[in-house]
Amino acid sequence: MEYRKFDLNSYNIHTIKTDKFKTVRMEIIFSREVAKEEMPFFTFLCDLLTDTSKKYKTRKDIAIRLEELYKTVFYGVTNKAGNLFTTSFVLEFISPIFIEDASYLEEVIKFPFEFINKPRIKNREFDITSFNIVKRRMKEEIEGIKENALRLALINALNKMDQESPSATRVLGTIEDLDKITPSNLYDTYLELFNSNCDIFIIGNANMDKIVEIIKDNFKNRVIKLNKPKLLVNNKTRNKYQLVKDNSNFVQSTLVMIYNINNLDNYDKDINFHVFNYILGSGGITSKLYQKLRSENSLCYSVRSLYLKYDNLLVIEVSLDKSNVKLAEKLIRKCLKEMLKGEYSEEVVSDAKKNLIFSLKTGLDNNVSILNNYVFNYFANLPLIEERIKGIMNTNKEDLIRCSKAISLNTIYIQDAGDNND
Amino acid sequence: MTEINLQGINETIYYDECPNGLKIYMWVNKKVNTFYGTLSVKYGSIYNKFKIKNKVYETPSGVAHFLEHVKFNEDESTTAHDYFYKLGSDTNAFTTFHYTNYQVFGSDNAKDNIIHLLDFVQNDYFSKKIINNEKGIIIEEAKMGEDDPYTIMLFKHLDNLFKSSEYKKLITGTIEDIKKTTIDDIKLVFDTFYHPKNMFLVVTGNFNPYEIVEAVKENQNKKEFKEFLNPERIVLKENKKVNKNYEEVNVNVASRKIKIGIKIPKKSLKNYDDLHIRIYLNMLLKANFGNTSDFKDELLQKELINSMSYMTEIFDYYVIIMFTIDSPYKEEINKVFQEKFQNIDISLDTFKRIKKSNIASLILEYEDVEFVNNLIQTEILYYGKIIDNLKEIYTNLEYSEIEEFINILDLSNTSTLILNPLDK
Repeated sequence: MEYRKFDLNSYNIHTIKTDKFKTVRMEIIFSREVAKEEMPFFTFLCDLLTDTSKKYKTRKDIAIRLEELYKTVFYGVTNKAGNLFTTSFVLEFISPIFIEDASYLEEVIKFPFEFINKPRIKNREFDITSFNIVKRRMKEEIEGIKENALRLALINALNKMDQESPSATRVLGTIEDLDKITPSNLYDTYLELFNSNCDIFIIGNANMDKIVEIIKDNFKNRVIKLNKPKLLVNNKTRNKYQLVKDNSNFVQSTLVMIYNINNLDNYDKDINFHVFNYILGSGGITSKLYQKLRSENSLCYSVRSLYLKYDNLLVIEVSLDKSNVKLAEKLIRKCLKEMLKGEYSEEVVSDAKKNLIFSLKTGLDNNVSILNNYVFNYFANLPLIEERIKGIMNTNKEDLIRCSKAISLNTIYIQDAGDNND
Repeated sequence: MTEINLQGINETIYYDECPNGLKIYMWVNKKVNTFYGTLSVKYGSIYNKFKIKNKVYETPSGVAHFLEHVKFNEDESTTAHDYFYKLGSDTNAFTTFHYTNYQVFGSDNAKDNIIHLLDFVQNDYFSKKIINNEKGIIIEEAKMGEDDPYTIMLFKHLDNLFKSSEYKKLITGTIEDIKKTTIDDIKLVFDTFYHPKNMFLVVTGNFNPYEIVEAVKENQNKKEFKEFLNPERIVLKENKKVNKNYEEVNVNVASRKIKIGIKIPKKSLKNYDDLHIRIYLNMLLKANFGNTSDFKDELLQKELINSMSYMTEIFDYYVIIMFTIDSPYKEEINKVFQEKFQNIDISLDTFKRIKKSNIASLILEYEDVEFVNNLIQTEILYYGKIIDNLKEIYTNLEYSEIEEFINILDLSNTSTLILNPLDK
C-alpha cells in the first residue's frame, strides 16, 4: 500500500495505491466543526446535490449514467464524529484495469464534480421539484427514528445528558429545523460549503497521478485551506448522576447508561480503552455484560457498550422486559466494579487482545476501513491499523484498570415499555 | 478435488465431497488476511411438518431457530464461543425460511476453526437446563421483532399473500411456540436434519484448500452418523389466489407505508427454470420500477411517493414480488401500480444497458470473502450447484426471449397492505 499526499493549495488529495481491490473508491470530504443549526442544512444540501445537477436533472438520469459507467456507485453523506462534521461525496467504480474503454477513467472521475460544480440553480435558488423530493425523503428519515426503540433511546439519552453538547446534536436535525430550509437559503449553504476544509481520499488500483491531474482540471475550490477542525468534545461531568425516565409504546423497555471518560491520554484512548471496552461489552457474547445479563440471567437478547471516543463517552444500552430494568442496572454496575478491581484473568485480557487484533486485520481487507483509517489519521492522528495492532499487543491489566478509573456515571435513561406490555 | 472455473470472470471454486455426503465448496483469495467458513444445514423455519417414510411429524414453529441458539452449547458449561474466542475468531449463526447457517470468521488457524465449526454443529449434546435458560433469551428476541415495524410489515404481508403456507409464520415462532418447545422437539429435528448429507461447507478467503479438504475428510471419517432418513417436508396446500386482496392496519411506523404483493403460480411459467425466472424478473423490475425507470421517476416528480423498493422470492410453487412504497396516497398508488402491472415492458436499449451492467457486476462479485461465501450458499440452495456460466447466460440473452416472458407474465393476483401510523 502506497500513501501519497498532494497539496493543491485550496485542498489536498490523498492517494492510497493498492492492488487488493477490484474497485476504486474516492471520497470528497468537506469538513468543519459541529454547529447545531448548520448541520441539517448541509445534510439537505448533500442529498440534493447528488440528486440533481444542470446536466443530470433527475435521479433517473443519474442512475442511467451510473449504469453506463459499469455500475458505478455515487452518493452523498454527512457524518459527525465528536466535534467534526463532514459532508462527503462518495464514488466507487470498477478499477480501470478491467475496462478497455480508454476514456473511462476520466469520465468516471469527472462525474462527482459535475454535481459539486454545477448544481441545478436558477436565480440563486435550487430547483423546487428536486428540493421537494429531498425534503420529503428527509422528513421520512427524521420521523423514521421513532420506529427504532434503541436508536430513539440513545438519541433521547444523549439529549437528556446535555442538549447543548455537540454529542447530542444530530446531522438530520428535527422537523422544525427542516421547515426552516428553503431553496433560496440552501443556496447560501452551497456557497458556505466551499468555506470548509476539503480533502479528497482515493484508494484502489489505478494511475493515481492521472487521477490527480483529472481532479485538478475539474475542481477548483475557491477558498484557501483553513485550520483542521478540533475533534474532541469535553462533555460536562456530574457530581451525582441523573436518572431520567420516558414512556413509550414499545413492547420492550430500553436502558441506556452514559459514562464520561475523563483524563485519559491519546494512547489510552486509541489503544487501551478499546481492549477495556471489548472485555466489558463490545466483544459480543463473551463480554462481561453479555455473560451477566444474557447467559447467566436470560434478561435480554443483546447488550452492548459503545465507545464514543471523540465524545469522551461510554454508552451501555440494552432492551429488555420492563420488570427486569432494575436488575439489569445492578448487574451492569457490578460488571463495571469488576472491571475496576481487575476481576478477570490474564487469559481474558489475552483473548480480548487476540479478538481485537482479528477485527483490525479484517479492516485491512476492506477498502472503506483502510480509507477511514487514513481520514482519521489525518484529522486526529489516529495510528494506522498496523500500529494499532502493535499497540494492542502491549496492553496489560494495569492499562485497563487505568481506563476503568477514568469513567464516571453521568446519566441513566430508561425508555419504559408501554403499559400494555407489563 | 474438482476445480470449477467460472467462465469469463477468471475465478475458480474448489469442490469436493466427503464419503459421508458432506459437500465442500472453496474460493481462495490470497490478497486478504482473513477466511470465512460456513456450515449450512438445509433445514429452516418452514420445515414444521415433515414425513419420514410414512410417518408424519409436527413441531412448534420456530424450532429451527431455537436449535440454532442452543447448538452453541457443547456441554453443560462450554460453548463454541469459548473455543473460537480463544483462537481470536468470531462465530455466529442465523436461521432463514430455508436453512440454518453457522459461521466462523478468522485470520489465523483456518483448519482448526473449520474443524471446530463441524464439531460443534454436529455435536448432539442437549439438556433441559440449557433449553430452559435459552427460552428467556429467545422470547426477548421475539419481542424485539414485535417492536420492529418492518418485521411486522413483512409477516403481515406474507399472511395476506398465503392462506396456509409456512412462509407466513415468524422464523422465531411466537412467544407461545417458544414456551412450548421441548428437548424432544430439538432432538427430533437435530437427528432428522443435521446429517452430513443434508449439510454443505463453504470456505472463502486466504487458506490452503488442500489442507482444509484433508482435515475435513479426516474429521468426518472419524465420526459415526446414523443413516440419513431422507425427511420429506410436507408442503401445505396453498390457494392460487392471495389470501386477502386488501387490508389496512395501524403499526408503529412514522409515515404511511404501502405494500403491494404479487403471487404468481410457478406453473404459469413452466417453460422457465428458476434461474431464468429470476434473471428475467430482475431485469423487468429494474426496467419498470427501478431507479432508471420512467414510472418511478414520474411518481417522484409528481410527489406521489417518497421512496419505493421491491424484492422477489420463489416460495415453493409461487413466485412472489413485493413492493414497499412510502407514500401518503394509498388509493392513487394502488391504482397506478395496478395499471402498471398490466403494462410491463422493456425497450431494446434498456435491455442492452441492463445486460451490460449485469455482466460488469459479475466482475465485482468475487472480492469480499463474506459476500462470495453468501453467493455460493445461495447458488447451492437455489440451484443445487455452482452456476459456472453466468456471464455466458447474460451474454446470450436475446431481447425476443424477454418479450416472450412478458407475454405470459400475469401480474394480476395482488394483495395490498396499508400500514398507517398509530397516532394518525
